[in-house]
Amino acid sequence: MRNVWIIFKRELKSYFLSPMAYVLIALFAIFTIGIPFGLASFIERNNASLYWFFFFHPWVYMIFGPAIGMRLWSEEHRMGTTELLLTMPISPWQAIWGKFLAATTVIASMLLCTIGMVFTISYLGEPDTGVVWSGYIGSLLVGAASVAITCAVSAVTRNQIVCVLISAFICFLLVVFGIPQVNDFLRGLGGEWLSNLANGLSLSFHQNEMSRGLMRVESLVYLLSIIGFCLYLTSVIIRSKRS
Amino acid sequence: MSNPSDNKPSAPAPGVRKGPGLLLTSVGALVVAGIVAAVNWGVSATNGRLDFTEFKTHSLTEGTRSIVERVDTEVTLRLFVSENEILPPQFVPAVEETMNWLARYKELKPDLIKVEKKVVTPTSDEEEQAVTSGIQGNRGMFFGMTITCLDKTAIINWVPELLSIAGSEDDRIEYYLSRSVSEVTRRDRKRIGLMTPLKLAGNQMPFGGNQSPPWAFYSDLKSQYEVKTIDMGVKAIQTTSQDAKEGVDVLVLVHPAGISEESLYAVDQYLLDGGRIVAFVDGYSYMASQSGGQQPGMPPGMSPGAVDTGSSLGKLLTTWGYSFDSTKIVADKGASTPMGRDFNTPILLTLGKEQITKTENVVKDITNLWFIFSGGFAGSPATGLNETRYVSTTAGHSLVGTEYATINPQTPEGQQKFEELERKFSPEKNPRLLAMRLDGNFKTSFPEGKPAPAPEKPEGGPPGGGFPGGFPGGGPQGAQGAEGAPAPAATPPAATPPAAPAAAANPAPAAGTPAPVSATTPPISIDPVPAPSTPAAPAVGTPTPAPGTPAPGDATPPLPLTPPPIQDPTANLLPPPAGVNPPSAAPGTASAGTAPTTTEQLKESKKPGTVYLVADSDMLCDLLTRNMGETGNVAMALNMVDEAAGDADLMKVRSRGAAIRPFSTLNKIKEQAETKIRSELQKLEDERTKLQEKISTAKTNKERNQALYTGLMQDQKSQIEIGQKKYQLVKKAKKEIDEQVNSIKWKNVLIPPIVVALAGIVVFITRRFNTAAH
Repeated sequence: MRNVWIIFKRELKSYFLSPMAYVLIALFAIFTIGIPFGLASFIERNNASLYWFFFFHPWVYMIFGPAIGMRLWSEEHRMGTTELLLTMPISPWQAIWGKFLAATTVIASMLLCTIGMVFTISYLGEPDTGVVWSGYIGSLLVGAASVAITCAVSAVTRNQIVCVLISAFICFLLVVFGIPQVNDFLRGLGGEWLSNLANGLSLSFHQNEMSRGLMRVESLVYLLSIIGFCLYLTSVIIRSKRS
Repeated sequence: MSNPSDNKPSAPAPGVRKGPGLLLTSVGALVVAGIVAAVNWGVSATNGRLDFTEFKTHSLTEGTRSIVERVDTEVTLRLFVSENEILPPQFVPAVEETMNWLARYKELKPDLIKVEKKVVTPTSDEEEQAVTSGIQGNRGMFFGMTITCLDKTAIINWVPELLSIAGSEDDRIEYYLSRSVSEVTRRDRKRIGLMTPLKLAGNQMPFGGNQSPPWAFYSDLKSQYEVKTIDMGVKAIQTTSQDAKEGVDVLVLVHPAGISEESLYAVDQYLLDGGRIVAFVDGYSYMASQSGGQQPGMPPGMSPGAVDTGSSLGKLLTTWGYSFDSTKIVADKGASTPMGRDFNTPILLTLGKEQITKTENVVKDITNLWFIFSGGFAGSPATGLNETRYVSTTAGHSLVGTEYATINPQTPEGQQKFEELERKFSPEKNPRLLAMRLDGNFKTSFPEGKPAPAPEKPEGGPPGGGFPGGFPGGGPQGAQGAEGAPAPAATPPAATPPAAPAAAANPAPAAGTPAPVSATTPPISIDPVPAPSTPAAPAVGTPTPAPGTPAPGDATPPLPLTPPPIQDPTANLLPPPAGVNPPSAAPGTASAGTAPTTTEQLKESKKPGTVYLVADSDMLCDLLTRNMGETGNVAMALNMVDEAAGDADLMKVRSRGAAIRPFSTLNKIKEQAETKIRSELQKLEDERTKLQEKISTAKTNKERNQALYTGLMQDQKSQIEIGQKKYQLVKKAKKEIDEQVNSIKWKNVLIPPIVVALAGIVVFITRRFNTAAH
């Protein structure tokens, strides 16, 4: 655990001692808050709910998850420090967890910066606090899932741009499966089972459910599975690279 | 607290193949992926969930659990849904959501609740089955449900509108499902006692005249319940627990004008025995004003057989903590109804979302109501009672005399009177209640015991300013009028009914068929009367003529909301309707559910009782309201009866709060901006009125006085200027609102990134200093 903590601190420092984290957090706040006000007529809907605020989060994470996670392993590969890191008295799992938790903390910081939205709807009306919490938990899990996907991809490549593109594409697929029109198209292609599968795989579907205050056990298990499996995959890739 | 083994590099010793090593190969990764997929698949089948909503919107309520627990015969929940290719994409997830809801019901009683899904394809057996069951497709699509138990079937025509699609946590499907299960598994039809001097069931005109149709409220009641008419002079009313065969589950009082003390006592005792009451009283009942016809030399409503225009529940209301003046009507400028281009009448109330408590099931689906010459309740519940508000006026209301109800606002004189009213208008500070529910333990309004029977009144006695029609049961001479019973204490009897229209000078053409009232009621019906799907309600305050095919025999013309050309200044606002029941006649009135006397007086509630109170009775008459387009009037009334007749379990399902949470602060901001300019607008309006008066006077003299004419031109210029000023004021108020909204938007969008940027700069500077120090 101590080793995870050490790696976590080191990674977090590298995020927050460079302008990157601040730029990403500021941009995230502008996008996630600006889109509902601009595109989703947040005020005009006259409903003290953050559903339309969370609605766009999977789309935003599609870019910001890879942007935060791209340097997790690609940077180490590029600098040639992977071997150095793994020759230290820590296991790959500890390194992976430390890095992942640091990136997830950046995601949490991004979400923290949107807390003003909660104050705004509390000022304007009487929101359902439980639903707000559920939405934030869902958003954090979706963000963490996108970071975990990027973590696995970054373990494969030393090029950060390639890492961002591949990760963003995977996230895009997982988001787009939840769009009714795409889901409908898939149904036409492969029938009901394909449609159900796509819905189940979709990050946006699960996020939307949680934004309504409904946290299905299957959503929780799915998002945690993505995180767990991607981190496991990272471990497999790193070990295979070592050998 | 690290494990020492953690500190070692995890690379296996050469030549040694450890267990985890296999897992960390590509083959292992595939195996793990398979396991993860299997776990996810298994979990998705469990349908487990955590409900974070305040009212547990996504979980079955205790009420539903109790209803399903009572099921002892097989109930089939059958979903008829078009194939996905036909459904719009956004409805496709709703199919799964619906099946999830049905599965939850099945989980509660798997042996008796059966769930079936029928995919409807064009010209298939399933389509035939859906249509035969009474499910009406919507533009060729089917997404309805039948709930069947033995020979009873309930129908939910269009499920998507009951599901939360696009953001709202407001799933209503549970309410309609539970209600359907409750209805089809119920052994007996509930019995409703209807007590009214009006003829809700329609009226056969004498001499072979056209028959007016029954009120939609009455028709819908009859389709769902066993309706028993209760005599207005009833002496005792039994609850079903007292008399299972003749007792009534719910007592509905519609404009109980002239109800006698003895009858009030009967109502009081019925309530204390756990009875449920839905009462529609009135400040001025237009339908009553048209009863009994016109007698030469007598004011309308005063002729024999006429019903008094005001009604109340007298001392019952006082005991419950409320007052209701049945000689006054509500004038509400904030809810006034447009009657012409520049004229709104404040005594016809167009009530929108702001005035309706959206968290209550009785009214949560209702977007607009139209009250006609309504009274208003004031007060607070007596000890032991709980008040639930449904509908209120705006703060800009006041009580005015009923004489305004007899003025035709479409005449210049009428408009003048209303303008005068506007000038004199002094709004009350707090909104007045128009509809509410009281429940709890009631106390008797007759602590001194049963009132003595009123003495018989000689035939044809003078009306004496009381209730000229009177009711069976007799009454004293003088104040009560012929055959009249004593007036209730809180119903001021002295009010001489105001001069009602002599006759409609501009009677509207024969009205259309009754508006499809059931279309505004919940999209559910019990066989054999399937309800049509719910259409969208029109925008509040935008009265549009209801489409309707004129039906022969419909004798009641609608309210002429579109001002006709002014031909006769004596023409009245409301043409005489049919459909009123002269109280003295009351043919076919049975004392159903009643007993001659009760032996023991109840002083307080044996069981908690419930009373629904509405301050208007004309709102029930769809024959009057149909020209307003779709109003929720009848739907609200039926919801009240439904809720009252439902068992406690069903009420629990209904009373769960809704998830609509409006931006109340934003609405207040808007209100404040409007209030700010209101007085200025009023000043300008007064100025304009004065000028107009001046101009109209000047016009008659202009030929004789050129100088005055010059002044007149000046006045007209000023009038235009005032118009412009008014426009600028309204524009300014709108700008003020927009500025506040924009300020909220920009603060939200800009403050977080600025704070983050500042934090970044601080970190950067601190680091620079530290580095420099080193």
